[in-house]
Amino acid sequence: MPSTVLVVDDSTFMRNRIKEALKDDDIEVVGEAKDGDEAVELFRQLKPDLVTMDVTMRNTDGFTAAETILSEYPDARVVLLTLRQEEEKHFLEEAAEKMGIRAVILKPFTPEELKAAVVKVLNE
Amino acid sequence: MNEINGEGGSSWDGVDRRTEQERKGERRDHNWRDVQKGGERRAGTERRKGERRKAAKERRQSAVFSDLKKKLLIYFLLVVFVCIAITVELIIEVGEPKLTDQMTELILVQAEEHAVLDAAEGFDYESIYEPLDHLQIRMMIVLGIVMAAVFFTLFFFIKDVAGPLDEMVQTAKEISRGNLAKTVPVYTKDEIGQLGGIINDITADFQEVLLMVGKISLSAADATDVIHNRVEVLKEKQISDEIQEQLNVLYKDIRELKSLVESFRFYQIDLDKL
Repeated sequence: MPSTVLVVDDSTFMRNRIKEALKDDDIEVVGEAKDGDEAVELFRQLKPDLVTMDVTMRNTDGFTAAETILSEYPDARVVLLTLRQEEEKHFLEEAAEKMGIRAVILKPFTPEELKAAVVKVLNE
Repeated sequence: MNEINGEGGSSWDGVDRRTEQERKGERRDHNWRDVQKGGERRAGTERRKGERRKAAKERRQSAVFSDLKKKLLIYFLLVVFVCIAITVELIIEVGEPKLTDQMTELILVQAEEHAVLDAAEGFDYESIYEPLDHLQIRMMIVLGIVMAAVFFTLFFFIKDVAGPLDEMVQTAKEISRGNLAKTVPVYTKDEIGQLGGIINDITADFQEVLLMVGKISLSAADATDVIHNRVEVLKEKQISDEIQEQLNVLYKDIRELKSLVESFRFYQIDLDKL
């Protein structure tokens, strides 16, 4: 059975890129959300194996949404995707690790990079 | 090294030469923030000019908005006028003594000669035509209800359609001026709400693309920097100069791209809370 993934990003073209990058027999994108509130709601419904979470989103941002999801489902696999700068990555990773987020991926990414990171987290 | 090429393309081999590491660090510190802050920085310098332009624009805007409401008001007043005219006409018509006189006459004409005539003359016509009075009152009530309904419709139309539409137009204009931090408020799931949602989606897409361009322009500038440093020490002076000239062009383009991105204002979240 393929692993289920929820894609969260406020930008439509980015969601499409992520879906395209994850296209695989072993991965199925079961849902898409464009803000944090939608993400939390869809997570409760779908209980996917992994969530790719954008950080900068209107209404509720990715960190807040990840926090809510992880407080309800501590085993949830959340991967952060963000356009932040390389130098902020370390800081982000530290904050993410404290929260139980599995990985931080910087945009722009190549499809291969994203897929490799997602597969790695899925296999953990 | 923010201003490595400050004097325009030609003075790349500038005075203020620092180590590659220093430059990189400095650029990282300031420039990504500049890119993200974008318009905020620029807004300061252009504020006064902008304010004057904005005032003029707002005057024009309010003209556009009141247009819609004015039109709506005219349509509704037209409907109200027609309703009132018809009902008032009927009310007056029913209350006219001419009508009762005509009816009395018809009764008398149709009555057989002398048979009911005597009786008919003794009728209490007041009570016979009482239903007409009731009808008149009922029509007044109907008029009241129709007017209340029209005004309620007008009120809710302005509240649910014209108001949100106004707000949407305002925000969309703000966004089109480059402030991508603005979000169109979405209250309903109807077409107006959907339109607002779509504007927000487009804005989010645009911001994502722009920030990505900004980020790529920074790493491109870094790469040009590195190549520049390597080429500089080449033994073949002529080749080195040629490459550096090309690099200058490239660097200028990259700066142009970066300043383009910076002319927008972006939606951001505060990471300091982490």
